[in-house]
Amino acid sequence: MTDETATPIISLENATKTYGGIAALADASFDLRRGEIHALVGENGAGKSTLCKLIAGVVAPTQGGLRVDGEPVVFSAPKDASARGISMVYQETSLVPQLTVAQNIVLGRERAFNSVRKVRSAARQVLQRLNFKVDPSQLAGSLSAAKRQMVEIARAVLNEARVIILDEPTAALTPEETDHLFDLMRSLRRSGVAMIFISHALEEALNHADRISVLRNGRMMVTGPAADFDRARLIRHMIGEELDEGHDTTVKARSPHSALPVLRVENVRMGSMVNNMSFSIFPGEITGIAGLIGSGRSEVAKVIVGHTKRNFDGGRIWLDGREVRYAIPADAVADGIAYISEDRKLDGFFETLSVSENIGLGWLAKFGRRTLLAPLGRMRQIAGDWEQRLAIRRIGAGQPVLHLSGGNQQKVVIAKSLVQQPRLVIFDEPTRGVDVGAIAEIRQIIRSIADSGAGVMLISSYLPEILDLSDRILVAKGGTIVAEFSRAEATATKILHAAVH
Amino acid sequence: MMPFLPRRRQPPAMTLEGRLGPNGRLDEAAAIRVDAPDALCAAADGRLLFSSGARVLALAAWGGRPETWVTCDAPVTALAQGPGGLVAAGLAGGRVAVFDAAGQAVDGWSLPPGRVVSVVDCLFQSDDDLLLVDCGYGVDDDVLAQAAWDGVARGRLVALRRSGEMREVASGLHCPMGVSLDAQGAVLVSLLEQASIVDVAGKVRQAGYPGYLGRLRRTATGYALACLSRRDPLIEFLKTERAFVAEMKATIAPRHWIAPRAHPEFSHDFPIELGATRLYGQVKPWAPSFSYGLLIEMDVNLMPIGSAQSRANGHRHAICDVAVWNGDLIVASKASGEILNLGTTA
Repeated sequence: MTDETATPIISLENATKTYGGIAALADASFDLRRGEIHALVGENGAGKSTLCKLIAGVVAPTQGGLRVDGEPVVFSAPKDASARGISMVYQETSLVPQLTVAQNIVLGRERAFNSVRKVRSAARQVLQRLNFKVDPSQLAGSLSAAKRQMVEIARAVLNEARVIILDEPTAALTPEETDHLFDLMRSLRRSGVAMIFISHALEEALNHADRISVLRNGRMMVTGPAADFDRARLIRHMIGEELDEGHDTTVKARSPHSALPVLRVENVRMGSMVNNMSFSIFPGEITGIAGLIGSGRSEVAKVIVGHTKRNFDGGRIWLDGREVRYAIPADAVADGIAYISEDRKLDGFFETLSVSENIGLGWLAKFGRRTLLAPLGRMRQIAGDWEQRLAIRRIGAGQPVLHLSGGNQQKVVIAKSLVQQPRLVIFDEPTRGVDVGAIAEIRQIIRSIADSGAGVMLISSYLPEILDLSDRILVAKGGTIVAEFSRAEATATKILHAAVH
Repeated sequence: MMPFLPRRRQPPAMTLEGRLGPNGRLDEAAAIRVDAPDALCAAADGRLLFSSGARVLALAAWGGRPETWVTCDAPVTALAQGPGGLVAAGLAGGRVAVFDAAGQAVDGWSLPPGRVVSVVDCLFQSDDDLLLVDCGYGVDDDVLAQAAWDGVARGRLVALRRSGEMREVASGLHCPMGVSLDAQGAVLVSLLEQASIVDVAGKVRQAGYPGYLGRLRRTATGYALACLSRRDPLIEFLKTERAFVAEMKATIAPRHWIAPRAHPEFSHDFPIELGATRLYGQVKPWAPSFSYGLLIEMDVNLMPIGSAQSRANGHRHAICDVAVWNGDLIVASKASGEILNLGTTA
């Protein structure tokens, strides 16, 4: 399929990109051949997104040059790249929520007078071709994360792109949707489209890519055919050392600090998603909640924090023995409940504010209520303190959180919640879209929260994470808790069996 | 919404999760079969004394043969070991008998007849002072069924001197079942229905246990609490359904009430609790049964640190007494008629 002698469709020569004097990408060379799937892997902050943004014309290189079909080009805007057939599907979706799916798909290529019907049927055609079940007349803002991703991909395909760059396309997708996406990528490859995809799931890169490039600290470490790599070798290139990822048996199950639960949920019902859910969370213990997507885990967490309302007479919730019913999440924050959302870009942080402003606002949300003036100095000092404790890596002091890597963004969200000194922390998919190195750090943070005596509720669809972190494992199915396992007796097979049957 | 609020009750704060998570320690324990055991205590001479109907048996070592130590004229309802080798036995009908180390009845300690309804637990405060727990229900009453639905607090704590002088220490207790002393020597009383442990002033020391409490005993690490059953979701729910309960009490014999029970019962005319008791013909261990075996081990602050359980599919239910004997935790199961050895204490 790929022709190694032909001119590469894209080649980046010794490109360097600096932000505020610090290099996000240093002297990197990269080429992409016609009809290949090229995986880019690396830790958070390794420069993968920067490299893609250079190719897509979002940012211009500080040094070095870009060639398309062998010709040197200078892109001043993404529009220029788009004209050369280069499309990028962003990690943070760039759809306009107020427009319909069809309008979003043709956005930027409308004619002066558009027929609503033609726009819609063009969108329907491309969506059906890709086998995406998305209604083109729906508002983009009402779609789930996975469907938004599908619309983005459809937009690139409609663009008749020759090069499609996918920045973590599978982070928000279910396993079936992921399989489907890779099927689609293979069929696009047959028609000669070249694709770059960034992924933190190393298996995806190994199984689906033709070639793999590994970046570390802004430098291109190695590029080669996927068959030459295995998981261990990739990790060695990514972090420069071996990482023991095995089931960590050295960490013993901690016993809860008290038999009195910090949170008790009894018979909570919410719409058709949560159906008589009952469980308790104990201080000093990590309670993992496993289950399939749609088993009502995130929904019950949102009911607990007052984000969504339970049914009339839809069960009872106690926090430290006191019955609570929050009208707004701010009351839950004031009572010491922190919810770390699964969709950090939407609910987790203010993307245009800096790291310290975000953490400072987290502090202000709890401790600054009813104060007239925000103590900015104090907020900055607390934020700096937490930045160091969680080792948040950023480039420049005022850099917006938007430009941080996924793992560092997640750490900002965690810091923003921990600064509120919560007694109950609810993690919803804490390591989704986070690289291997940061996953280990975030897991360590979660353990230390439990060690400090707070109750931890961990919602995760990734079974190894549940097995590795939890002291006690609950399995949700169809909106109710169907099984409970201790750390010692739990296995992936048992949990899956309970979650499915 | 508001008119319904007063009917809502706070269920016990603790659940059978975490430290009180399910286990099979009671079902796995070594056992001795005994007819109708109710009370047990470790005697001064190193033997284990336990009641079997009107008899008190003595066991020299685990695995040996129990011998009859004394035979009383009424079923024994409580046993306590005193400082000078004395052993007090509560007898059905609200009477007390005190024996010396050789099993001979001791003079004195006569309780005026009719003053105490029943003695469910006793404790020597000194050679000369015996504390008696009067739960307020007679021997023929099904205490578990009655207490769960009785609003009247008829229980008392009574002090009896060797001379026969009687003094009321506390009254207005709701079905007290056990008595113990804390590290400072203050008296603690466990309340069956209210699932709490209070002092003589009625002040709650710890509440929210997920069971119907029985006797409370000191151990090396804190306390052990025998529970006659666990809290049942159906019974907790019915506490909001006053009309239904009033009709049940008016028209049905207490034996058939929806209430905690001492013996596992599964019958076709039984309230089946959402049909949730059996799966493929087997009783599910997590079924919401009315009887249960539960022993809670606690630290010095009365906070649970562990438990021993016999779940719905077991039969060692209604744990009525517990004692520490030679470092082992010994419990009595009313439902299975057994004395169980749980091994060294937690």
